[in-house]
Amino acid sequence: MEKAKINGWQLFVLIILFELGTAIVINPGLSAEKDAWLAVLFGLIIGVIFFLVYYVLYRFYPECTLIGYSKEILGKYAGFMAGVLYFIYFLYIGVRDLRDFGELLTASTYNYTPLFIINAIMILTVAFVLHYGIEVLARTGEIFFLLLILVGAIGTTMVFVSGEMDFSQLLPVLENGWGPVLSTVPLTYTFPFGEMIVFTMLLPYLNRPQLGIRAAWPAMGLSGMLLIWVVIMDITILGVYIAARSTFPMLAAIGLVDITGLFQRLDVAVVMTLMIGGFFKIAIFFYAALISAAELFKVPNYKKLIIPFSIVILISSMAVASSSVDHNSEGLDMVTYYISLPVQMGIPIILLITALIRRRLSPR
Amino acid sequence: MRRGISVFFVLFGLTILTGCWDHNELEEVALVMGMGIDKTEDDLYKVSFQIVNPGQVTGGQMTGDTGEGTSVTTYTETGKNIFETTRKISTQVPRNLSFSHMVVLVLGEELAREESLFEVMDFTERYYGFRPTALVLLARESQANSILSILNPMERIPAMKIEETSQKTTEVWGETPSRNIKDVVQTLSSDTKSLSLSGVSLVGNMNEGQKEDKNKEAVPESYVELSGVGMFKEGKLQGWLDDKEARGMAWVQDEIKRTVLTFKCDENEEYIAAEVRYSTTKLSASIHDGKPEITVDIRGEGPIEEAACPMDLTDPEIIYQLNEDFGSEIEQEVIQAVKIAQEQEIDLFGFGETVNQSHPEEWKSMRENWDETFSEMDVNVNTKFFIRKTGLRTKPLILQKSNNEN
Repeated sequence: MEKAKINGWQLFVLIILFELGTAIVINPGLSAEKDAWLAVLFGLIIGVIFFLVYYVLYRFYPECTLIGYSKEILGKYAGFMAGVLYFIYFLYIGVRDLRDFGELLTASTYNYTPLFIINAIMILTVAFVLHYGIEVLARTGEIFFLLLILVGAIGTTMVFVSGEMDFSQLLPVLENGWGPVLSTVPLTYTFPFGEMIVFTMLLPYLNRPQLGIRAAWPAMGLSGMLLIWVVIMDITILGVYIAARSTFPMLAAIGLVDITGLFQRLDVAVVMTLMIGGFFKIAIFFYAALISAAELFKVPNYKKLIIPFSIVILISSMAVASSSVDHNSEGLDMVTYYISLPVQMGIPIILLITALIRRRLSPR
Repeated sequence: MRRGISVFFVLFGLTILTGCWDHNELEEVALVMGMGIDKTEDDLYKVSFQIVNPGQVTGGQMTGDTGEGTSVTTYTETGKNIFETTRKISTQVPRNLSFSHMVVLVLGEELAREESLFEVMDFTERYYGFRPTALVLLARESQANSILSILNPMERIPAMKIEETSQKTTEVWGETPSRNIKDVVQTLSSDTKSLSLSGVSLVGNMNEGQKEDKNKEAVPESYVELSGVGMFKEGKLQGWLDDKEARGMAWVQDEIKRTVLTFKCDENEEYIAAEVRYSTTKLSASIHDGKPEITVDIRGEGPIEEAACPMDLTDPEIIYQLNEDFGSEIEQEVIQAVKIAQEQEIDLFGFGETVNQSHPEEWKSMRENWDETFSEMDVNVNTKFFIRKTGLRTKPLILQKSNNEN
């Protein structure tokens, strides 16, 4: 951990940028078709409840990161193993997000630019900001948050004015019953709401601990609402079939906006959203991986790890899948059920229960 | 050392941040304004690209060097699929094709009849360079290629002429709704709704229409016009709706923005005309004894624009009567369109979706045999039309004449 402090507003902003990140352009709920918004809503609710678990753990050990208190709770060896697991998880999801980002950009606008170049430029930028530490990242977030809100507000207004939306596309609700919704909820929970687990690494930097939940819940709620709004927009503009078939639904939807031939080609707004969101998502995972490695392996200054880790993330982002198809199917099945769910729900619950038992056994 | 590193970063940034890996210089790009897809006899796609000749469209009359050649050139290439032709065309065109300004995609009638649109349209939605806002039209009784190549004096680029005509006529006449690539793909991916596409046909001699100097004629011998709506079933063209039938379909689809209603006043052969300035259509479904029923509610309003009947338009009673008459005019058009669609078992209106939206449970059992159910179902049409004003005069001129005689 470095010596740094962030305030509640900065945490709020970072959470929003993180949650919107790549989810806003990919929108995981779309496999529930017309009921995608319900799937995202349930994902949000579960995410908000589970954040309470992370928050309680943080309040038990306000000075420690996830790595720190898992050692306290589970003991030296088991705690270390859990720590290593989280370290790898953060690194891996950082890799996946970088790949997501590169895949989306090369599929939509940079068709002839090699993926490697896009990824390299992105990781270089992230490494540069992380070199200055979490405070700088948080302040960068404040600036880009305003930009994102501005772009979002303009885009939303344009979409409304263009009259492309047809809300009857959302009917009938629960066309195929609860089945598709419930089977999508694991996906919408783990991506992006469950990924809030990464903030257990950042909460100790808060200047006032009780701000943890006061900033995080509204931020999650707001970003969840924005994700729901975007998925509704995608479906009502494109129709559910095109939206579900699109690799990049938001781009396709916004591309249709044309107000009397004057306001059109708003695609740049979507690409900007992707770049801003992608940047913060990758940066936060990268940072979590850095400080968890520094803590686990007792490296005094995490900054020494930035360059080697950048190279690891960059190379892995190329090697993690042979094609976008590979990458996405891995993300939908393997990552959701075998990595995200245990890491985001399973281990934190074990930690919480053990912590509660320990506190009961040795009352201070 | 530190300075060295920062200098390195600045230089490095300069090289990578220009982001020009994907650059396309303007003078190396050929802007495709329109694209036509036909079928050859040996089952290949024949794709025509209408490309702007930059020197001919800029400057207008100021430079004086326009009018020397045509403002566009249409190149044609054949291939097993459409993407192949966009690259193979490089053997003829000295630049890279750019589709981002394409306004119209014309499909040949033969292609539409024989090839299913599911195969043709995939490229248009998958390829990154395409914009989903380009209009899709059917070349009626001709090849897409010839439709695209007819020059027009008012708009130097034929593709834009077709696009603008289509937009305009949708707006004021309403018989041929404009559909873009996204609308087409959306309808094709729908469960039961069938596609309907406006036709564009060639009037006159094709070879004459391709020459620039024919634009010097005051009465063009050959031109392109929007005509009729093609009905598709499972992605293949089945037949055409014309004139009032086409507009009947547009009424049900809520595609009417403005249009003209005429009604023959009794006895003599004279007409009275009103403009529809505002109209909405609402579809609702109900189920009676397991059978679906659709109610079409159409509401329109507008002023009287021409009256050749000796009617006293200052009398509210007559206006109420006319409201009824215009309403039934709409109703007849709609009933006719629905009848044709039902005979052909083509659900052009998305009635299936309407049923699904309000009765999802019952829909599940109907989905299988929807075509049959559709062709037998009851469709109630309720229309209301309101005359809001009578223009700049009250009583018609012809009434004045008969008054004078009395």
